[in-house]
Amino acid sequence: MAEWWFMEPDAFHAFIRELGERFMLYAPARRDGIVTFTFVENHEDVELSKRPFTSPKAAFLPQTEVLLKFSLRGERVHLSPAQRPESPIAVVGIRPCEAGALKLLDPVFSSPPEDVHYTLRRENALLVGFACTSPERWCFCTSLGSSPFDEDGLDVLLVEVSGGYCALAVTERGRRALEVVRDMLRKADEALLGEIEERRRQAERAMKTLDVERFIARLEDMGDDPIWEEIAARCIGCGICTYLCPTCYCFDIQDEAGLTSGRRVRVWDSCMYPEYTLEASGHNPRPKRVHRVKNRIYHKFRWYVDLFGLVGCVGCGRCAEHCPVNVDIKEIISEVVRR
Amino acid sequence: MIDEGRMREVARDLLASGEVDCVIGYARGSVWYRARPVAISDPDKVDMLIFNPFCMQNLATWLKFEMKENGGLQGKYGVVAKGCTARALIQMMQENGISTDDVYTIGVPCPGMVDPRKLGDDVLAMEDARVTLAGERVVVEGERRKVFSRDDVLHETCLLCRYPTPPLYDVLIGEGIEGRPAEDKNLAHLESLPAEERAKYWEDAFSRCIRCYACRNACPLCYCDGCALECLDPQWVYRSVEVSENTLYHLIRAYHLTGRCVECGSCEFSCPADVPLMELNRKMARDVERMFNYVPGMDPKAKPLLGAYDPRDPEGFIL
Ligand code: SF4
Ligand code: SF4
Ligand code: SF4
Ligand code: SF4
Ligand code: SF4
Repeated sequence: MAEWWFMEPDAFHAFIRELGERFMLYAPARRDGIVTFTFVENHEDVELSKRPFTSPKAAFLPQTEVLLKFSLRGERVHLSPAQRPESPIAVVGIRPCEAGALKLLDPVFSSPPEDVHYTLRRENALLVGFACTSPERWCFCTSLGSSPFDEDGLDVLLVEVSGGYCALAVTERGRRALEVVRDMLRKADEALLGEIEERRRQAERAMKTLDVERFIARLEDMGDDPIWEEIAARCIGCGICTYLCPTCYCFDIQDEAGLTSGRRVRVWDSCMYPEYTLEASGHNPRPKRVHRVKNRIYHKFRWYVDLFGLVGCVGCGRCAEHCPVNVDIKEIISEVVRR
Repeated sequence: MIDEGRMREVARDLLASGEVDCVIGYARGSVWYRARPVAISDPDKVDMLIFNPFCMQNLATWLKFEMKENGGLQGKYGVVAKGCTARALIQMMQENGISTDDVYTIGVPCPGMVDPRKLGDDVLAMEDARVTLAGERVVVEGERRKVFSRDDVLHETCLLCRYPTPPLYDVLIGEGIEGRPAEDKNLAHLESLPAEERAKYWEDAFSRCIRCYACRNACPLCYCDGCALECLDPQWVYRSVEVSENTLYHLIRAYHLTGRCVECGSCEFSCPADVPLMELNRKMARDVERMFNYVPGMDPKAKPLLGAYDPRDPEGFIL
């Protein structure tokens, strides 16, 4: 049976500090008043209380990644490909839905041709999850097969309890990570186990379930429904919904070159931008916002399903929370299901 | 508070009589502290229109999407316009981006917009609530009732607003409000810092930017055909998201908006990364005002700043 360990705040800090010795720490930290996922140098900067506005996908798929540097030396062109990522990453404070999101990125980057930068980072990583004791109002992970205390895809799950945290070693890798601070842990007693259970129930109760299966089925014949025009009419095509989404993975590859040297970079791209589909001829197969709004939804809820047999959304709700014009995925799902 | 009934009546008449083809206004959001833009062409749908303290977006922006996607405006638009929205429309008229015949301005004197984040997580957690602005107070009534001081919860942009009433309108819903801008302490503080500290401040801010371009897209005055940022040859700004490119992006935008920005705050409101874009915009606006005695978006017949010449213009920087 899985075992829960109690750690006081001191032990928690020791744990993070130890992780920082062996991994590059990627965690929520406050930067000028705003909490964001970032590589942290100092373990004391880690702040779990607030869910960052960014998702942790950038640890594995950086927004900007240099693939290759090139330079002209006399008559010869010198190429130096980027080093393979060596240092393992520990993501601390990743939410259950976000761990689920990584499992959705995996098939994309491991199918041939395998993207070794991504897969190496993933294989070596340690995921220390943080259970959501108070889900955001935008969250709907329980409608997508996960839940606020879901341990699937994590190595360690942390739950905030009175007086500290409880930690569950989900995998062998997680167990070994906790081993380092073993002296500072004590087995969670009945009272603590009860508290965890109570918090889990409370968190799940706070969430309404949406009928995603029916939504997916309804999409089949909704391609021309006026609902897409209604949404597109207010969308400003900013791409916030895709950049903040933990499962969106589109990228562009561009050369940034000066006269004698330059580099090839991979940068995030977004299907919400008109240039995303603009062809060299000048033709754009998705010329209007309505085509792009529809693409985002259909990619996640139909085409990803067709490709990999999985739904391409984990219900974190970030796209709705941060959309400047309140395009709300939960509302879209319930509206379509209701019709 | 704005008489929503009157606003709807005006919109209904405009659509029913064929005076306008479409009304751009605000509708309720999916949660009580959000509002959303809506375009209505059916007179029977005007009851969707609202005007509450969360109508932060500048609706003039939606004309640009019409122009870009349809190769120009398709008919005449009624636009629900706060002071800053009307000023954006006027600025577009000054620049011949739109003509006075393209829009019918449904002016609303704006009491200011509430920044939901300033209400605090416990208040935002309420399932439903109604928010009203009454004089100096902002009252939130939901499962609980909470009263805030206006100064504590309005967007900074709105606390500093000088023109809450449209300078120009076809109809005004209710009585005009006088602007009573607060002192711009943040800008004064920033200006007082030594250059290195200011540079550090902006470096931190710009390094948070994720280059989603929401600030540009939400801006009514970023309506250029072929934005400099999309130009690939030459590529003025690389897509790499790092502080140098981000800074370049923001400086280009700040310069392109100088003497044009109407300080609506739509850009900063849309930013997910809390980049204090308005401090940059206000700095440019105050400089323009001081040096050229010019305020954009006040008179459709006035020349745009860059198109105007006055022998008294300062030219201390020209060698
Ligand atoms: S965040 Fe909202 S406005 Fe921006 S592209 Fe996505 S749906 Fe459109
Ligand atoms: S589509 Fe929205 S809710 Fe779904 S995973 Fe992406 S950001 Fe989260
Ligand atoms: S959707 Fe919300 S509650 Fe569920 S795991 Fe993600 S952050 Fe937690
Ligand atoms: S730059 Fe910002 S404040 Fe100025 S007009 Fe554009 S959106 Fe409004
Ligand atoms: S909206 Fe914010 S994050 Fe997006 S490009 Fe503008 S400043 Fe950067």
